Formats: sequence, C-alpha cells, structure tokens
Amino acid sequence: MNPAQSGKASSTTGAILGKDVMEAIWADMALTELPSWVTAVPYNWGTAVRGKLSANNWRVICTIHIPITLIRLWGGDDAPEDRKDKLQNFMDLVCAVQIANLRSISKKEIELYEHYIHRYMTGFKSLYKLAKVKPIHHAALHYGDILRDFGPAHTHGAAFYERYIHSMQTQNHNMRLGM
Amino acid sequence: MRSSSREGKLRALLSDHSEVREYVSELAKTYEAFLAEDVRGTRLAHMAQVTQEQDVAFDETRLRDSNLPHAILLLLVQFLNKKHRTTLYSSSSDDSTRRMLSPRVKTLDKFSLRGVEYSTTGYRTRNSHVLFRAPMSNSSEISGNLESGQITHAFLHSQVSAPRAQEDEQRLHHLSIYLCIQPYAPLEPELNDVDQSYRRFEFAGGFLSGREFQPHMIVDHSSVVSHVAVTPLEIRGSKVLHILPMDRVSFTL
Repeated sequence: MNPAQSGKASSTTGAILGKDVMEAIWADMALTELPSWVTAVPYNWGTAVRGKLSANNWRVICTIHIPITLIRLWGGDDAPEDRKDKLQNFMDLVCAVQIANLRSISKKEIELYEHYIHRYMTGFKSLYKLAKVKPIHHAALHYGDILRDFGPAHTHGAAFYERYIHSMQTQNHNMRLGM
Repeated sequence: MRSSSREGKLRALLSDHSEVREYVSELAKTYEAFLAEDVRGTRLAHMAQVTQEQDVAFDETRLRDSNLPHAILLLLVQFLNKKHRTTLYSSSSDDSTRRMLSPRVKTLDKFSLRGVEYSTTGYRTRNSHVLFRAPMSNSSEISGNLESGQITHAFLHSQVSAPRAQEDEQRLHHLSIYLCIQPYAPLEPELNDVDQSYRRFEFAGGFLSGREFQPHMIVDHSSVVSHVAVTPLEIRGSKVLHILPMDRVSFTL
C-alpha cells in the first residue's frame, strides 16, 4: 500500500488530501487530454502560490481530475475503510454536480440529483463531525426544486448574465452608459 | 431595459426585412449563433425553435477531394450494407447487380455535432477522442455497445446520399458524415477489479481500457455520443487508459 492510499501524510495535518495525494493528482492531470471546450486548470492548483480558483476551475478539478486519481488510490479493495467511505461521499457530490450541470434535464434526473445530494449531506455529517454545515449545503438541498421550476442550470445561472454584461461593457458607447 | 428593447427591435428587423438581412447576412448569422448560445439543448428552444442549429455542420470550404484506402472502402461497404439491411453496395465492379462504391470522397478534418466540435486525430487530437455506439459484429443492428476510440478519418460520400442532395450544395448539410474510428483495445482481465472500482461510479467514474488500438471501424455521425477525457495510467505495471465521458446533455455509460 503506498502512502497516498493510506493517507498517512494527511493524518498529521488534518487535511483530507495530503501532499502525496495532491502530487498524484497533479501528475495524472498533466497527462489528461481534454476536449478543447473544457477549460484547462492551473497545473499547481491547491497551492498558496496559485491562490484562488474560479468556480469553473473547481468544477473541472472535482468532476474530472480528482475522480481519476482518487478512485485509483482509494477505490481498491485494499484501501482503508475510512478512505473508501470518503471517496464514496465525494463521488456522491460529483454525481450531483454532474447532473445539476446537464444542458437538458428530466424529472428522473432531478430525482437522481436529490438522491445524490441527500446521500452526500448525510455522509458528510457522519464522516466530518467537526465540519460545519454551511448555507451553500442548505441551498444545494433545494436545488432540485429550482431545476424543477426553471429547467437546466445554464438557463438561469449567473454565468449568462456575467457574460452578457462583459459583452456589453466591451461595446463602444462613447463613454455614455445605456446607449 | 433599453438594450433588451433594442435587441428585440433588431431581431424583428432582421427577420422581417429580407433586404436588410441580405445586406448584413454575415452579421445576422453570427448574431443568431450568439442568441442561440444559451438556449441550446433546452426544451424551450426546441418548442419555440429559437435556434435553427442543425445537428451536424461543417465548413464546406475545408472539404478536400480524396481517395479512400481500399481497406477503409471495404469497411464502408460493410457498414452501408448492414445499415440499409441490403447487399446492394460493393467495392468491386465484378457483380453488375450491385452498386460499386467509388473510393472518391470528400474528407474533412473537423465538424460540429449538436454544437460541439469534433475533429480527426491528425487535425486536433484532443477533439478526436470519442465515446460512440459501435456496430455489433454479429447482428444486423448498427448501434450496439458503447465504446471509446479515436477518429482517424471523417468523410462524405456522394454516392450514398439521396439524389436530391447531390443537386444542391446547401443540402450537403443533410448528408451523413462517415467516421473511421480506431477503438481502444479491451482491458486485460487481471485489471478488471480496478476497472470495476471506476465503473461503480458510472458516468462520474468512467472506465479503463487498453492503450493499444483495435482495427478500424466505420460509423456515421449519429453514432457519436460525446467527447471523452483520456488519461494514460500505469496500474500494476500495465499501461492502460482511463476514459471519462464528457457528455453534458445526458449521462451515458
């Protein structure tokens, strides 16, 4: 069993992903070939040098790069039980995020989203006893209703408005806003 | 508010006045694409037909005349006979009752399918990795199991199109794009347990496959499901590929 599997490095700092796991993720990430429409993420994400990441960067990291490495390290039969549980919990979140970001959505998929996000939250509370439930967790539990009422995320997400505002700001308006 | 109102007026102007539309045709095309950007894939878009986006599109100026290698022509003949449940197509002129397919094709290096760009491996490798429905080898069904592979050639064949489509250049858009794909080899059985640990998470976990390629196969564009992210891994000394489907419309695996 290698150190990344055992999670020894993380136990001393309290971090879930220790330096060894992060290095394994960075190494796999450098080899991953993504379609051109997927935004590449900084090669040194998660370090103090890199600093903050965009929401889209986090989505790509959590739905593509982390599962590829983490399932290999923590998904085997020989992995410690707590790692397996944490992997299962994280993958519940990944499934929920993947469904919430679909370009088209059905009632069945919304129910599936609710199933995964409830299971994620239940697991989160039992696995991470010291972690606090934040408003974003609460909001995520209601997101099924929003999908049901307003359709896929991109139809009501702020990304469209942000892009539209950016597009308008780039127009020549002779310094007179509203023109 | 003012900008929304102006946008509405501009749309009305472009749709009602053919003269204006003709004059600014290039602008109108770009503007329509921009407007349709965020409604693509929604039910509202399909109901209201906000977008005129076609399932498949390509740049006709990039088409190149070319001759298919005989091995690929044979595969195309097999595919067409299976697709149309016939023995009509042939690669040789020996049998006068059958229709001999010419190796002359128009090749293309990239095309857009449901708004997503795919390309051949020679043009842009990262856009050539796909998840597709492979024809079943011992069945008349042309869509079978999901497989992953790399697009090596993409081409149009005028002989297998409807006669009307040949008359009108515009109707090229309605033709099938035939894709020559090299599927990735199956995984060695001793790594099945690792593969299962990925497959357990279905669309979110992906799966493993061998790094080598299997023989080419031909499919048409409707068999393509989505792009995949490909990561070369070394597990227990074996070189494998991790395949993660990148479908944003539905989760398939």
